Formats: sequence, C-alpha cells, structure tokens
Amino acid sequence: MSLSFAVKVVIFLALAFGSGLAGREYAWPVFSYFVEAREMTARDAHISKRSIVYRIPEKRALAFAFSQPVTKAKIIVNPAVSEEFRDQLAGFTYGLRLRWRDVEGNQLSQHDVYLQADSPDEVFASGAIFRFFRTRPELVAEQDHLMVESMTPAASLEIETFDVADGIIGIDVRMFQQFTYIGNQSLAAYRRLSESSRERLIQPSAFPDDLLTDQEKTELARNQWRSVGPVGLDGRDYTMLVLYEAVREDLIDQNAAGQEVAQ
Amino acid sequence: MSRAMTISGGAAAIIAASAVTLFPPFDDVSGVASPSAQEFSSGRKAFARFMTDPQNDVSQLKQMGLSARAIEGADGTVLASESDDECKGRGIYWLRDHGGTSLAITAPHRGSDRHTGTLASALFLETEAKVAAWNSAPRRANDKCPYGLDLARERHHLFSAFNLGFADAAPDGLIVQLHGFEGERRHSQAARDAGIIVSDGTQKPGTRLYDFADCLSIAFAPAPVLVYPGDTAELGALTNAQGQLLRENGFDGFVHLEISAPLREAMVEDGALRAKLAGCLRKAAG
Repeated sequence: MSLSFAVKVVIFLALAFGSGLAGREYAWPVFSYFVEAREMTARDAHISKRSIVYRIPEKRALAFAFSQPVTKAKIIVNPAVSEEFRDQLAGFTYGLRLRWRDVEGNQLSQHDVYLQADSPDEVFASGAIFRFFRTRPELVAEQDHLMVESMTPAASLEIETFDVADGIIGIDVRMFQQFTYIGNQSLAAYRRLSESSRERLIQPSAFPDDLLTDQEKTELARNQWRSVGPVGLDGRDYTMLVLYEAVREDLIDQNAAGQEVAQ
Repeated sequence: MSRAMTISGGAAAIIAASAVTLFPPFDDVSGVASPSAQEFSSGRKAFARFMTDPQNDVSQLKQMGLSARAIEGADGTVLASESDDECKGRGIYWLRDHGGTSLAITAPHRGSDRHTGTLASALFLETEAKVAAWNSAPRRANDKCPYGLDLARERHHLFSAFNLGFADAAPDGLIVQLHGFEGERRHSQAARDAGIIVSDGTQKPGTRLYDFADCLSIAFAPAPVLVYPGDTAELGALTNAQGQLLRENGFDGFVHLEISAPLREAMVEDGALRAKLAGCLRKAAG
C-alpha cells in the first residue's frame, strides 16, 4: 500500500515539527556541554578515583605475568589523545593484539581486537565518569573494557597496539586476574569480606546477602579481580602514569544514582 | 635513671637504637602537662625562633620544660625532651640547628601505631628534615602508665605549638604526620587493601596533596596509595587537631600519612623502600 502525497506531507510536517521541538529543547544544552568541555579542568570535577596505568610502548609489546596460570583476564584500556583532537566527532579507532603465552614463553594463541573510543569532549559532555591526567598535556578518550579468554591456562599475556588512529598518542592499560580459590576457600573469603565489598558483589543479585545460598556466595567470591603489574622496568619497558577519574560537579547526584560504576 | 645518648652509623643505627636512645619508656610518665595560653604562645614563638635562628633559643626550650641535648653521631641536631625526672607528656622534639629541608616529620601515636616512631627518626635523618616530633606519653592510659594522651586530638599542647612554630618558620614547608592502620579493621575493601592512605584533613584536597600522592603511587606501585576522600572514605583526619590549627593559621602543607602494618614493617627493615618515601617527602617539601 502506498501513501498519498497529502499523507506523506502530513507525516513530513509532523516529523519536522518534532525535530524542531527536540532541537529547541536539546541543541543549546548540547552546545553548552561542548563549550564547557573545552574549559574542563580538575576544579570542575569531583575526583572519584586514582589508578596506576601502564602505557604500551610504541612498536613493542607490553607483557603481564600472572601469579598462576589463568584462562581469563580483564583489561581496561584508556586511549590518550592530543589536545587538538579533543572534540573529534568520529572518535578514535585502534587495535590491540593480544598474545597468550605459557610458562615457557611459547605462544598459545593470538587475538586482534578493534576498539572505538569517543573523544574526550564527548565523554565529558555525556556526563559519565571521565578520566584525565593531572600533570600531562594529553586527554583521555572513552575507556573500554575487555574480557579475554585463553583455551589453555596461560602464564602471561602480551599486548601490542596496531592501526592506531591519528590523534592517539598513547594507549594505557590495566590488567586484572581473578582471585583463585581452592575448595571452600571461596566461601571463607566471601565471609571475610567487608560489608561494602559484599554489597558491591551482590549488586547484580536479586536477593540480599542473607538469602543467598553458600553456592551462590562461593560463585560471587570467585568473581573478584586483582590488578597485575607488567613485566619490566618503568621508563624502559613501559611508562607508569596516574590516571584520575572524576564526575562533573554539576552531575554528582546523577552519577551517584549509578549511571556508570567506577572500576 | 640516665640513658646513653650514643648513636652512630647513620639512620640504620638510629633504627636499631632509637627505642632506648630517643624515646624514654612510657611508664616513666608521671602526669600530663597542659600549657597555659601564655605558655602555648611562648612555645610557638620559641620553636619558630629556634627553627629560624637556633643559636639564640636553647634557653627558651628550657622554659617550656624541655632540656636540649646534642646527639652523638647525629651532628648538627638537638634533641629537646623532658628531663628524666619529670615526664609529663610534653613530647619529644628533634631539631636541626641549621639548614635542613622545609619538612617536619611527626609521629604523635608512637607506640600504639607500631613503627611510626622509628620510621620518623630514620626519615628525619634521611630526608634532612628540619625537625621531627613524637609523643612522650602513650596514646591511651594502660596498666603500666595511667596517663594517656592522644596528641592528634590535643589542640592545646606543646606539640601543637611546635606545629604552628614550624608553620611560622617555614610557611611553604610540609608537616607530615605519620600514622599506622590495620587493614583488617577498615570497612571498605579499598582501604583494607591499601598500602598508604593520605589526606590533608579536608574534604577537598589541594594540588599539593595530589602531587605527593601521585609520587607515592608511582614509587610504591603496585601497593595501592589512596587519597581521602576520592579513593576512600576512611582515615580522612578531618578532626585532627594539628591539621585544623594549621589550616586556621593559613598553612596548607599538612599531610596525614597512614601506612599499613606490613608496609611499615617493610620500611623499617628496608632502606631502599624507605628511600622511596623519603624522596616523595623531599619533593613535596619543595
């Protein structure tokens, strides 16, 4: 069934009217956010966390060795971009090459992952948690998380960058491995957790702590991660930096309501 | 009872000997002295004068109930403490008689915050800090000593006058107050896992504290170094008496440094680890 010309005109006008209304409502705030983003400083922000991150060296891999063989690792990635690209609408693409190795150093598998990050100004304008370096000129684009798995237990994981978009001047990463428990250790570990840590762990659960079975508590305790340091020396094999996380002062209440949970 | 004041072999020897040479036992405490307003003001001035022109004012330290002694093996320093026959918790003060980094290292809970007294004495020598100070009475009364005194809560005490005197003598300097925490007693996992927690005693830390914390984070990685209140909501030192007094007097160089038990123990034994803290302290003191 085809629409008559008159009906098409009515639909077009309705859509145009709606767009006009939306534009009048949102165009100025969006514009303001971008203007504000240009004047972003630490003073505008409520600092919520500081983390050590490791910058992957150019054309070389950065290796992380685990305390014992693992089949899973979590990586948090932060691309750092130069000032002149801070508002690049298209964002930034980059690739990470991941190589699992066994304890002898033999390669077990290799995976290429492509990621896309929004520009620093867009992250700031969105009102989500944003990241920055206090004492460095580069700005931090959108953060990404990777959960990677190896078919066989691996002793280390190497990360190398490739196909890095113009404007990106460094890729900073943090690596995490799961706590390892044997037998009932996991349940014991759960019981030793502080109240706040338990609350954080059971957040996704529909039931409160006292209604969880021991098996559920065991599984929850297993879902804990600890950071892993890189192999080598700071300044030679990688650069160690302090990354700040913050929320905009004007949006603290909204963020507190849980728009994005800090890692 | 007299005590030998012989220290040689640098900071390592100080660490070994400090318990008997610098710090009298707490069971010697025979009361708690509280200075009058006049004495407090005089004490502040006397400390400030000693720190700027030490040649003049050893006598003024005596007026505050302190006697000054040279420390063998620690040339150019004076230890001001109460005489052996009068111990009323006035504190122990170690002063460099000339030069030194614009840094005061204090440990008001020596004894209860294990190793902080020893660490402060080692750091005083290794950072060439201008001054250091400790409590001379225990934090809490106990069977051996019925006179407890929490210096970090005492606004009106010679220790507070000492802090203000340092701020007068070195307005851009740094006063670091060493404390110790037990991870198991912390409420949040972040604080439980922390190696160091720093605060400047406010809800809005200044740039200077973040600079210091960043230095510590890099130096002690992977041990987590947290800043109150962003990284943790614990150990903020908001009610710390010296922090409050110093801020009221326009001094912004107060740092409350909480160190975990394992890290304190490691730093006492490991000079290289201590050097990392010393390096950050020197940098922060400017």
